[in-house]
Amino acid sequence: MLKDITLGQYFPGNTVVHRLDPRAKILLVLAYIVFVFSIKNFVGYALLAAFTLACIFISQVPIRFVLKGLKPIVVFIVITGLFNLFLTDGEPIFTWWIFTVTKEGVGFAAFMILRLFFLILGTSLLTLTTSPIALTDGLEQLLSPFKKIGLPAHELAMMMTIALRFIPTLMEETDKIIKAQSARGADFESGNILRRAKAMVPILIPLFISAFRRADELATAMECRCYRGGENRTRLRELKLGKVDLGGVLAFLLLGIAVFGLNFWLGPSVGVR
Amino acid sequence: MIKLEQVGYVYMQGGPFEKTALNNVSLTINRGEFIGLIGHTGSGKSTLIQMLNGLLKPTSGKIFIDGKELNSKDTDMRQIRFDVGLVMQYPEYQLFEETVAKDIAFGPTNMGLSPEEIEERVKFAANMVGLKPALLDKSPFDLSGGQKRRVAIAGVLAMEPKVLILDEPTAGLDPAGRDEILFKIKDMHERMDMTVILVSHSMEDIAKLADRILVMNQGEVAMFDRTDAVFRRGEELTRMGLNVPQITRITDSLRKQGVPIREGIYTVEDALNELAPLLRQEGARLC
Ligand SMILES: Nc1ncnc2c1ncn2[C@@H]1O[C@H](COP(=O)(O)OP(=O)(O)OP(=O)(O)O)[C@@H](O)[C@H]1O
Ligand SMILES: [Mg+2]
Repeated sequence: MLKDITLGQYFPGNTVVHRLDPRAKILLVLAYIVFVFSIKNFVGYALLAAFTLACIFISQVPIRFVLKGLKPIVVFIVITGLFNLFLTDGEPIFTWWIFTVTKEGVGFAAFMILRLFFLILGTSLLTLTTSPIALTDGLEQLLSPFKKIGLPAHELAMMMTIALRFIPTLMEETDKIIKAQSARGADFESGNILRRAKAMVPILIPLFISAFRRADELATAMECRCYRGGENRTRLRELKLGKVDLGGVLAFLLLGIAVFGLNFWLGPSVGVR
Repeated sequence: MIKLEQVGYVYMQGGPFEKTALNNVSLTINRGEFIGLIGHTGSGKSTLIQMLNGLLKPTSGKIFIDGKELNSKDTDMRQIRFDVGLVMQYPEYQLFEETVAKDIAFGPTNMGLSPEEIEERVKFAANMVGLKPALLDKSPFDLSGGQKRRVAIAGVLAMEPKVLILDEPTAGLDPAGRDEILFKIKDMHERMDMTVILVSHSMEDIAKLADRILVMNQGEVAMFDRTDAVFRRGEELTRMGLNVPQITRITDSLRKQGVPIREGIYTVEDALNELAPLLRQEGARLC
């Protein structure tokens, strides 16, 4: 029942992609997203596809894990594609009932699909190759310049770390509670919506109680160790930029030059705005 | 009768953290037997028993309860859950109702019994685990840890299952409470011809109660034999991170020192019966 949810979908490894500094990796993924949305012709996407495939290959994450990230939004991608296909004005190709497919529509729909596809692929690769803890570490450091204008970067990162830390625990707990109640004959699958909602009570009450208890215990444990956030904290693992990161930045620089160069040389494909 | 045919279980099959918990387990448990299940931490005990009422589906192999194959299309899995009552490890978290009585009644209510029958069973089950009637109207969240445990066990006992499985039911209870609950379960087992599977890390409890012992080691069945036969293989058990009851260790070391005492003693009563005549002889000689 809970098996299909893959939050914290980290796929451990020790490849170059895994070893990139999380700060660098987050920034590079941001650059990647900018590229995805600035590409204006199909040759550019071919190049991006090749680059992405190379990254996946280097990271040694099986391709099916990367594609799994697409599953929840397939419907969304298809609907977006269809909307753009039928609702774009331009030179008609054929008309059926009230729908008109235009040349621009085909081009634009293909572009939207490609953009969403690569957007998910790129961000999936980030979360697949970076442990949640490293990710929040990186985020904290990237956000720390904003502390000056009052952004509680450390506290935000701490909250995220704790939340991430407890997702698997709570899932395990939910699983255990569901099992214990099923063992007493609880039935979650039959009946109308009202009955099913009522059937959730024996799961939700123990779950909330244990979540509150855990939060309480954690707060006590942190206080016992004199935790205070923010100023002057040193960290166990200092993030350091290295050669790998330089390599990553160079690769992305080349990709960027190629993408914008192609945009300039070939001009936009049909339907792209 | 419970029958397992080459049952295996793999957690998170196909994922990066794949973990084989059980491997090729085949065994038969007869009706009315009292089985002790022991094994080191992580040997797959909890995994094994959760498959017996269909909470986990074996990733390979088949399980039959009274000839009905679990997880097959024509088996009513809900009925199996009522036939095979499972008290999970640390079951306190399953409590959710306003009162203790209502919580114990959750299982029987799901069975669709009449209100009178349910009340009857709640009283019976509460008595079995030694809960005082005054506690029945309290909120389960106001109880002590040990009392919560008792409520959780009563919640399963109230379903009066044909097979009762308990996963370390007495971990964390005081000695008197532990003996009381185990004694009542033994009593129920005898009077109602109930099959019982008891998971425990206490060799003493297992020795006192079980007809046969199932020893799990690294997800495989290491031994499945009569209690005395298993505790005769003390060295093998020690190698698996287990042990024999303390009294067996004492009689074994006495025998090594030349005291004529037989093998396969695993309860204090047995030891007493063996040693008393010896001591009397010894005493006669001394005087
Ligand atoms: N939900 C789970 N996900 C992944 N692996 C699990 C899960 N539950 C158990 N395991 C693994 O399966 C193996 C068997 O676990 P199991 O809980 O059956 O052991 P056990 O014999 O009951 O141990 P204990 O005496 O500590 O209760 C262990 O190695 C454990 O790490
Ligand atoms: Mg266990």
